[in-house]
Amino acid sequence: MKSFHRRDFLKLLGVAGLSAFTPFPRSLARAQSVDPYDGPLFITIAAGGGWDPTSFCDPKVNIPGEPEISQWARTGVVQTIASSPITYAPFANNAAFFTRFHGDTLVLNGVDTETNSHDTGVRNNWSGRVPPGYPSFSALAAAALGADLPLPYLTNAGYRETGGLSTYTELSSARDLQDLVDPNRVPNHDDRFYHDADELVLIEQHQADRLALLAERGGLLPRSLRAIDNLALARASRDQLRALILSLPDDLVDSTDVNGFNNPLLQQAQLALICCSAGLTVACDLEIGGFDTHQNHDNSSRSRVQQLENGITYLWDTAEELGLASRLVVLVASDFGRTPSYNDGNGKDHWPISSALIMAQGAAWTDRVIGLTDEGHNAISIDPDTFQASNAADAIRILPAHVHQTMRRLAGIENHVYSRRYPLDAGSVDLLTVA
Amino acid sequence: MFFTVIQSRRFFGFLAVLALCSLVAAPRALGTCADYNDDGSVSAQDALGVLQSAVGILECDVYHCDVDGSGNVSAVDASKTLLIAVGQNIPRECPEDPSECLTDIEYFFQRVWTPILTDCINCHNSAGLAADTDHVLQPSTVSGYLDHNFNVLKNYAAITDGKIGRDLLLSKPQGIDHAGGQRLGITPDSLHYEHLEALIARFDDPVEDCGARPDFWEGVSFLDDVGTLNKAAIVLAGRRATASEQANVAAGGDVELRRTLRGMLAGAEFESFVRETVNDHLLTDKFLIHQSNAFGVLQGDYQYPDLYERIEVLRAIYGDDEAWAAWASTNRALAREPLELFVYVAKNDRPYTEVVTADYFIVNPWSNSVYHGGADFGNDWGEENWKRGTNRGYRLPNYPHAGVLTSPMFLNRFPSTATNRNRARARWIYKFFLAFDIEASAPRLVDPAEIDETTNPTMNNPNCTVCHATLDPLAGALQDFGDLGIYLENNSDSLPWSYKETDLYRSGDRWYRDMRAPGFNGANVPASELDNSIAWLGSQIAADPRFARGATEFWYKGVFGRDPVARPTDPSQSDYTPRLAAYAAQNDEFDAIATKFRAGTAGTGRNGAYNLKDLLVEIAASRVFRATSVGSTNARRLIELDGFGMSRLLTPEQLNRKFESTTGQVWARSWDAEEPDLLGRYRIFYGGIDSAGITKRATELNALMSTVPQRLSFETACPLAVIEFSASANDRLLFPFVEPEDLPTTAGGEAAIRANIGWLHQWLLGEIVADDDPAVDLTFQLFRDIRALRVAAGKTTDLRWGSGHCELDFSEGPYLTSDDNHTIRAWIAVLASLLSDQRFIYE
Repeated sequence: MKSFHRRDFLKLLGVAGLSAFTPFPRSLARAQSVDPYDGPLFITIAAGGGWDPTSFCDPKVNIPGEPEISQWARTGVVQTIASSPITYAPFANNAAFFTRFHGDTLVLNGVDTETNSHDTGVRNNWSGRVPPGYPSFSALAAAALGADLPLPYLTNAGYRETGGLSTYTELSSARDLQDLVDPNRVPNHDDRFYHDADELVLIEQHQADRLALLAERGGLLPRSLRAIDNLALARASRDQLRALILSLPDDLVDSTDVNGFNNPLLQQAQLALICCSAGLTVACDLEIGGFDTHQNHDNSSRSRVQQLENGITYLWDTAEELGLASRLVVLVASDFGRTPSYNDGNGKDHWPISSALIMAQGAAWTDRVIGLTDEGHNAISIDPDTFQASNAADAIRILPAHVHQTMRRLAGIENHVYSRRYPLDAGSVDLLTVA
Repeated sequence: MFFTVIQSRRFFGFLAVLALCSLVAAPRALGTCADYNDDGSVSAQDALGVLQSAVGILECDVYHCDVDGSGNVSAVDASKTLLIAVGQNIPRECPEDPSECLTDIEYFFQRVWTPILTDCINCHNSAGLAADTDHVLQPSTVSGYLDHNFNVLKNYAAITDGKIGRDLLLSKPQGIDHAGGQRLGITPDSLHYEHLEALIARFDDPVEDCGARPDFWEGVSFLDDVGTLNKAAIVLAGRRATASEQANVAAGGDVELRRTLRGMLAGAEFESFVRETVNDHLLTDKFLIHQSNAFGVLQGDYQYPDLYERIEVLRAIYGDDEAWAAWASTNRALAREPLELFVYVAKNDRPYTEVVTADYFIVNPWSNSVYHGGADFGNDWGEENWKRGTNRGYRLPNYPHAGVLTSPMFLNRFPSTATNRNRARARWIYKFFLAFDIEASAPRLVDPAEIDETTNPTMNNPNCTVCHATLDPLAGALQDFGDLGIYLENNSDSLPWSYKETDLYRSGDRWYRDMRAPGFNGANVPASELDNSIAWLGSQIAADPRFARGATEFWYKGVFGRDPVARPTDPSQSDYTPRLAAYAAQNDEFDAIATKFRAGTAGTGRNGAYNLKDLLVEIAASRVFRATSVGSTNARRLIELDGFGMSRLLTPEQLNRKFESTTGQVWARSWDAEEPDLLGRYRIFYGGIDSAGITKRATELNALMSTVPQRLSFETACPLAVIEFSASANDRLLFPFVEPEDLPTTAGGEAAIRANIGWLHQWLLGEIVADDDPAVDLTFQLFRDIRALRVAAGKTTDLRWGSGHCELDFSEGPYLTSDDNHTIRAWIAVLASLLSDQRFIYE
């Protein structure tokens, strides 16, 4: 058996000698010159806590003699859109939302999240696999498409496992961000610096040479090597952060949405799109919680769905203003669904069957519904090619793995080495195929 | 000026019982078929390696490269490897490598216990639903569990009277006549089934000797005693060891290391470490935030009649400003109560079991009045004055006390609902104190149809009982606390009205009749304890053999900044074997630490059982902490070692302590000198948490985070150098061996500069290097080049004006204002680099 020495291993990682010391941290080689990112942009929106598709994109009416599944169905009926297969419940802001976005939306119903556990549901929905360890789709896309960018992956809490492929950045305040993008500049003084430019060059060279020296010391454990590598990449990417100086507003958008809710999605979406616009970012995870409506389900859920819809609408409006809408792909999903009946507290508990939306402007695969559920919101198995109900042996239920396979295809990274490192149990199902 | 001078600080100056360890000895992982480069996965690179081996360019043995089992390595093998790499299901038929021989116990551990029986044990344990069967397993926290469990299966397979044991071992997990239903998707075609079959075959044809095994840690180098002391001191005590402390350890070896380190675990910095570690788990600092304050947790003066009394008194006397300050002080006191319990236990060497058993409440002068704590503070209103008290301020008498379990903040941080019924709280209590993560123990692949058809599924449906049989009794023992943590919120119970209105409820009930009775680990709460079941629960948790292991894993995260290596569960994954080897090695270390912690022999071994400081010392002295490098290696070995060694990114709080202790200064805005930047404006950017919306620390550096220490070093380098050189050499922390007059162009000057560079590397970076070490050469080169550049360019020698802004109010001096030799500016550049060096921001 051939055994690799450490030097061989470093070669495999793409290490190149670039300084007085070799081997040099691989990140410095990667980050020498990076153009602003202008490829597809991916925004995921998590409805945290487990939403109720039967009040949203998979509407269910009540069946006489069965427990009540939807209180809105006491007086309302399932809503349809002319020349579109998409239907929705007369609930929250659904009418305005689906009327506007049906043409840009692929609705996936009957998504079997395989769990009623929050942790597992979040993991399965955002990594495509039940067991832990897989990166989120955003981490995967960021690593595959934006490895050299300074802020390839932005998060706002939620599932942010990276699998070691990339790092994430938590964005919390725009104002302090401005002081960080140029650490040598005196705050509030555009023309004053702590170190002269010619001296700064020498300081930064010393820092780089120090890292190379540390990496050269033999036999470091993987964590130590990774730490050196991450710091090298982070420093090498610092100049690119300066693009943000031009883009950041003094104040972020008012977080009050059109329904008067304090909506966290608005500022999350704004900061994400600013970073995308600066060419620094590939993917961003947005999150709004409060969907775990074990009590008083309809009232609680209505306001949350409104906020979700208002947030998505703001995202698309702002993307349009920034000229990013044509590059945007949006995935909306939740931990799991809610039970097809109400509990004693007028709430709904956990239910594994859920839905997901994939949105893109004017794509051939949008304005469709794939996946079936019965009147009790149980998933119906479908043919993997025609997506019609099927009892055949190869019939499938749509799983988060299928959703992730679709996202990987949309990102063009389905066969990327990182994707192969984290294979999905999704067969050859292609949700983008239009019959 | 951005600095505040802080107080003067002078810094110069396996046990036989471990079955896994002894029997399995954490074997090193070996290669697998088609994985040419041994990196844990099959890729095109492996196919190329096989092909090159087939044509004689490289060499590869048949155990890895004869993929079709033909007896030699050929192009066909390369082709099959490529197909495997692209995801095709091609059988791997390499002959079995004799070096991959597994003894029966090794096989049992790798292929049966870890991936299969860790699921079974959720019911098949002495307190579980299957306690009355012939298949009762012991958890891994019990000494000798592996031997025991192997023999349980062996004995079960031997049953022939009335039933055929070996057949049942294969049929039960398929769900055939099994109350637990099908487990893990096991069918006759599955890998788990194959492994069970193979184990049964081994019962007839045992393999007990595979020859000598390499130890998992073979080839790994470890920090020496002084290096261990330095690293642990920064993380745990927030400072470098003094010269005398280092000298003592260098002379006294391991015993002195333990004694010295333990002695350093005192004071405000250590207490901050304790507080932060606990909060990273409990997240109760959420209630420090105004929008989610602790007053809200206590739910007004109906529940706590004197909640606002002192505030109102102060308002009446001094007005709104003083009342507002009192509100803020009281809120901090109430919010910090659970964390201060841990601090109190640690600093007073109380048994760690008190975190779940304490019959007292921790109060300071501000919470004492709310809780009627009974502690005597005299006229001392200091917020850091914490004492033992009680909670007698609640509207009902006899508020129970059981450490953090009865903390209103803890209970509210993990709230419940009418349908959750304390289960979430139970889950976290298991995780925090017993190292048992019920969500990880059963990923709960759920078929909704099966749930739908069962009445009261948590009691009756095997899909649900697998977890609920464990979870629900503990949830019941918390019965007296309502959804938001209020004690007996209905005066005699805390049951929701939605339940009390049903036919199930009977007057006087405290718990649900359609749930398992309150209890723990197979025992119901005794009738005599039902009025105080939470205290009974605390005592049971403290007495549980898993408690010591729970503490070990709880504090591991504080020391290492990350979760322990997870147990791999899927043997079909290509990296299963090396990750399992890593898990086993870690398990050995944890068990050894936990055993000593329980026995009172951890750390210095002089402070009794369950001593937290000794536990921390024991963790720091362990191999998982001290591992630092490895000799020859390959990609698979790197997977094995991926989780070991410190190399942790310091948290913003830790980096702040390190900066302050090594420089003697505070990095803060002049208009907000009380709040260091790393604890305030940059805390979240630097991966910190707010305990509410952001609850997980960033553990890897990214581009934006890297600018924080860069700004720290760029801003502070000049004031640090000026302040230091303005003092006499004996009073300096950073420049004790050099003066501004020492020039790199003279032999004496260079020697002094190199000596001080060596000191900076040791003091700031923890590197002990000779004056002619390449690291010193590099920094000396920076010093020399900066000075030469400034001299050549004729730059100003005035430190106050001109290029290079110095963030220092020179009027607060006396400070040097002139840098006649350009050496201070050169030292400023050195500090600007070293204070954001990888060795400064990581430990």
